[in-house]
Amino acid sequence: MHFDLNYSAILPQIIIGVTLFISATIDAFSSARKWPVGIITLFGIGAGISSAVYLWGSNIVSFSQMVSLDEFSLLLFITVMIAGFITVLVSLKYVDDMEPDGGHFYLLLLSSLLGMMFLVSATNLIVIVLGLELMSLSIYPLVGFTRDRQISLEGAMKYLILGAIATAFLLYGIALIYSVLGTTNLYTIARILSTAQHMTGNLVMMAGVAFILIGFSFKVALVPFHAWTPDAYQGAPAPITGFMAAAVKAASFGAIIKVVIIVLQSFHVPVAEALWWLSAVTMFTGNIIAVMQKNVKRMLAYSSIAHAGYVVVGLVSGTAFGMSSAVFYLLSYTFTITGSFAIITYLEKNDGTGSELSDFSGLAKEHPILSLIMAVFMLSLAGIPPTAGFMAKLYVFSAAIKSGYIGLAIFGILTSVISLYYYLRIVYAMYFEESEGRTDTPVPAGIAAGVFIALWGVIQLGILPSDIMNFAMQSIQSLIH
Amino acid sequence: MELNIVRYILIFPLLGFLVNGLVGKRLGNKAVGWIANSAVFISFALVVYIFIQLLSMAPGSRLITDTVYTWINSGSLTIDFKLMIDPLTIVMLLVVTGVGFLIHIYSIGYMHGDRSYSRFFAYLNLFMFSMLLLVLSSNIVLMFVGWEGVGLCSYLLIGFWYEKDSAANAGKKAFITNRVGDYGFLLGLFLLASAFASKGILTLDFTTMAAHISLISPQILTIVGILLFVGATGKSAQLPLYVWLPDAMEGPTPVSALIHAATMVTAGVYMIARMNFLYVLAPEALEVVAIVGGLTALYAATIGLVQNDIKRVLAYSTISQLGYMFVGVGVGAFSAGIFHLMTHAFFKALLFLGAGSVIHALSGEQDMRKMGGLKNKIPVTHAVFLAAALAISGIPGLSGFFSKDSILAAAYASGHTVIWLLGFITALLTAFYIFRLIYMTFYGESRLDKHAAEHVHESPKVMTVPLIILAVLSVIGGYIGVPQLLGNLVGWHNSDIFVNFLAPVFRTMPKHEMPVSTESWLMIGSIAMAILGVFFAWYVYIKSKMRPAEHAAESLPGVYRLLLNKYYVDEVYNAIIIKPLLWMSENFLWKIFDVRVVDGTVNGSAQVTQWASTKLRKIQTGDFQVYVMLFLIGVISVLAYFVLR
Amino acid sequence: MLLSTITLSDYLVLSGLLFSIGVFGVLTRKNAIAVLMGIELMLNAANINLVAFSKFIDTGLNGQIFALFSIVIAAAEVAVALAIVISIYKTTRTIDLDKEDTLKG
Repeated sequence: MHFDLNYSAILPQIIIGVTLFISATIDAFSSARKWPVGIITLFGIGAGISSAVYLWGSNIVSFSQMVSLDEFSLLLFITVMIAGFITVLVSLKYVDDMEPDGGHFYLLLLSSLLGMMFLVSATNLIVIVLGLELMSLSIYPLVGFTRDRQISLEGAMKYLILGAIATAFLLYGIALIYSVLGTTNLYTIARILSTAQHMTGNLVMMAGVAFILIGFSFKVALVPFHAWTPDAYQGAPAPITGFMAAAVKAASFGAIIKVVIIVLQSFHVPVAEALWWLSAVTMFTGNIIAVMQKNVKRMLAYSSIAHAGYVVVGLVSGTAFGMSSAVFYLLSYTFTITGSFAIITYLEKNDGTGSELSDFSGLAKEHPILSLIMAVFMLSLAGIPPTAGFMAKLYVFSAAIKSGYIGLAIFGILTSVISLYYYLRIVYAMYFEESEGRTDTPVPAGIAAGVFIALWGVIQLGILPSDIMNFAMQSIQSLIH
Repeated sequence: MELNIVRYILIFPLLGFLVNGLVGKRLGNKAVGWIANSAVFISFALVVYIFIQLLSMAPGSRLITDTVYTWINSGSLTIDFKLMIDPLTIVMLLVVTGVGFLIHIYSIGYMHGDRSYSRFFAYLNLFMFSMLLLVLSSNIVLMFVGWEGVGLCSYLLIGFWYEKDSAANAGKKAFITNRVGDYGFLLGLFLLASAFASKGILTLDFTTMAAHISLISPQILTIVGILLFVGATGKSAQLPLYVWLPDAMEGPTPVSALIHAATMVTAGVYMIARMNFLYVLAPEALEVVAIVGGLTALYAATIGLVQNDIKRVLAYSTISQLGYMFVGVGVGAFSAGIFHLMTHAFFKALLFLGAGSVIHALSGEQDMRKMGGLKNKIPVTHAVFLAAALAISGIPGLSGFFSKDSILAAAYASGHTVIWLLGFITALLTAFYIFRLIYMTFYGESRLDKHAAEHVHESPKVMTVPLIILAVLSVIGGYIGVPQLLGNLVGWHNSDIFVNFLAPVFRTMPKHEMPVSTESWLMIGSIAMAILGVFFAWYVYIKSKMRPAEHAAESLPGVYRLLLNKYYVDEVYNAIIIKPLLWMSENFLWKIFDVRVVDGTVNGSAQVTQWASTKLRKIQTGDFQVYVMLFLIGVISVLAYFVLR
Repeated sequence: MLLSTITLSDYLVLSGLLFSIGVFGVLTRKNAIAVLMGIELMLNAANINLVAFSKFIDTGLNGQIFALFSIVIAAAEVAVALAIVISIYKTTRTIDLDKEDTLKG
């Protein structure tokens, strides 16, 4: 066995890792003010994004086929790092107002990013589990970051317990597949499966695939594996909720595309049928329950459940176009949801209140620009042109229709009509209700910057989607070989 | 011909929206008004310039395009951000920017003193942008962007005075009802896209689609046609999705005139005319359009008979007139439908703005029972109102006569006798309800309350001048489409300029020739209906000073009183003809069918959703062990599915 | 001598039992520590599988290496969990998880 150690295969990870190290050092020696750590983190993530852009087009498999750097992983790197970048920007003031150990916020965020990047670039099930756990174990403390707030801790605890159970199922599934194929290397698995016959008749193998699907379904919050989502999203600090909805989802879907859809291709028929049902139930439940929510974070939590269902619509077909549309959806959702939560972060007070629907009343009077942008984000979530959300839905639904899943597409469009009801309630509150005495603080520069980056993305993807869609197509092509 | 100035028609209203929306508050009202008005005026001037260009081209090749960039390019689908102007587009553009500009001017006066002045004009400009995008787009996806945009603006403008609960609710209702229609539109769009994609055509350009439409099977075309029409019933307020339009009158009156009478609500008619190449090959779908249009025309007109709110009469009238337009396009007479769209834009905008002027004069009063005798107090408003009323009634020589007559003639000629009859009866009712409105508002004795009576005043010039211009258009606008039958009388060859101008755009249905005598009798018949309607209204409201609508509303033991009444003949006439009709329309069509059934369905679906939401969220108990249970149920189902299948 | 009489299926039965006991523990226990113990059992059941397969099927050591990693993961998970449990105890003076049901609906 030879060891190929091509470090450029993990260059973006190295950059994030080094940033983590530097930030930790500065955090340990700095005083109560934590903004320098945040700035270093910002620069680190910025460098990470640049490196990913710079490496675009390369295709390196290294470390004994443990990780691969291809356009697929690069595009998802960029997606999760954009989510991280906006989140850090938005959190600068929030963290500064917190108790002395606020600097850990950035460290945990960086390590979760590192986990996500290994998760999407992994080509071995061991690395996938490691990446997934590094991501999750950094997110749990972030959810419970405000340690004096009971609901924050409650959300974190529920997330952790259910997350650990999901991990156990994932591990069990991997063990079962390993028992049949004798390897955890994705390339080898794909090769064996492409020649093997009647694999769908092998019950152990089928159970293994089912467990793996369940493990990932938990991370992207498909119904009925979603129960943790509203509680964790509501309990977490607002910037973290946005980060979870965007990045955790994107990275986990990356793993689903790679492992479940591409490597386990010979199980496409049962997987597609299962995904069909999961998607339909998820779109329905998420959108319906969101209708009666009074807390905006919780409402958007249910909405994020529903959005996972829409991404799955793109995956059901299993075609390259379908997967590309799912990747496009993830990127568009990343911009929209981090932007929305940036605005919620502005409204959320330090004691965790401020994210009720009534807190949005009359916002348009005091902050016309901020409200207009929030309205654009809501329209994007609802899938109304000319926003990113519309293009994303157009792509996933046309992918489904092209592969003959017309019923699912019709059902999806129907649920998106329902979803409009609750997105509009936020717009309605901002524009058509009187405010109830809000203390008017100026919008912090970090939040403003984050909101504008997100807005740019939403408009860019809505008005000029072709280029991004082409990148998404390339990324999927780089994966199929 | 490629002409890059076309895009500027869109850009100026967008700029107006951005400037007024973002910094309008700081600019002051005067500047806001100037910015919004000049943005629309520049667009109008550009449209006129392009119109002249278009006229200078050969009739068969009148097409100007402007490709801005490639919008969607994803291997399976190529959609350009491309604008297109052909004769159909230019007619719509002239109507939208022309009438739109007049209404913008009027709004300066009408909204004077409103505290959200800049917000109003920002929304109005955004609406203009969306509407122009809808009209200009060269493919159906881009059209859908405009389609959604006008819906959004309509929602924002109906709920403009959101301090009133009714206004805010009306806005929501409009948006949700429209989404139901849009759902149909989207399904049709997807179906059409996949049908074309399966034939290897990867773009949804109108011209490309028109060239290859015959590749697709008629069954699919019929389904697509009906689905797209479902979208049109939402946007253009047809049965059964019309419910939002009467409520939409909660918005400021210029909005009712611009969006809910002249432009946005006609988008459905425009869409069907634009997709004529598809509908010609899907006669069943076209049949549905015609039937729904005819039924809506009659249905809404009967409800219009008993309304007491001046704007609500006009709202039902709009629904009814839109029904006429759908009859026009539905029987394959696309240019007749568009012709009526244009004349209707003139006289209905005028009626709404005139109503606005009345409301303005009476310090906000909208109930016609508290009006009367205003003829001499607001003479200009009265004069223009009368012109519009004569036009909509179909009195010969005014615009409405020509357009309505060409629709009815086409319906009869193509063998749709029943639909023709619906339209024919509607003509009578139209004349009746509009003159009922005139008589109750401007004639008879004054029923104003004291406070209002003291303040009655004619509107300022900035409001009356647009009214006068629209009145002139309502009177003469029809002469560009004089039926050949009448043209021959005065030796005018090719008198139907409008039809000839639009002819290259439309695929023709098999032509039905009608003997000249039949056509003449039809025309005389509809003239008789119009005059009869005006006469009835005069007889009932001026001559005998009856209030049949009000009586019908309150009296069931009316039979007893009827016997005591000395106007025996009048009362019998009243009881046998008018009263049952009014009673039917008020108590059944309006109160039961309109409010309970149709409204109820819309509200009901919202309630069902909320009920489901309340029940479903009970699963989320907060106890983590319930979550684990839920998780395990999922595990068992997925596992069982994989292992047992 | 003794080892040779233990077959692969014995390991699988053991791991299946452990997994089920773990699930049962999570479902029935209210105490946070007991719930975490249940989760540990589930994770270790998977580890037993991995090691057993590695011994009986794979020629390499993939499964055993995997098991090592997964033990580390389980340890890290418990460390984070205990930190959260301590914080919960500080705010609510209890570690009964069924008392933690503020977030619902």
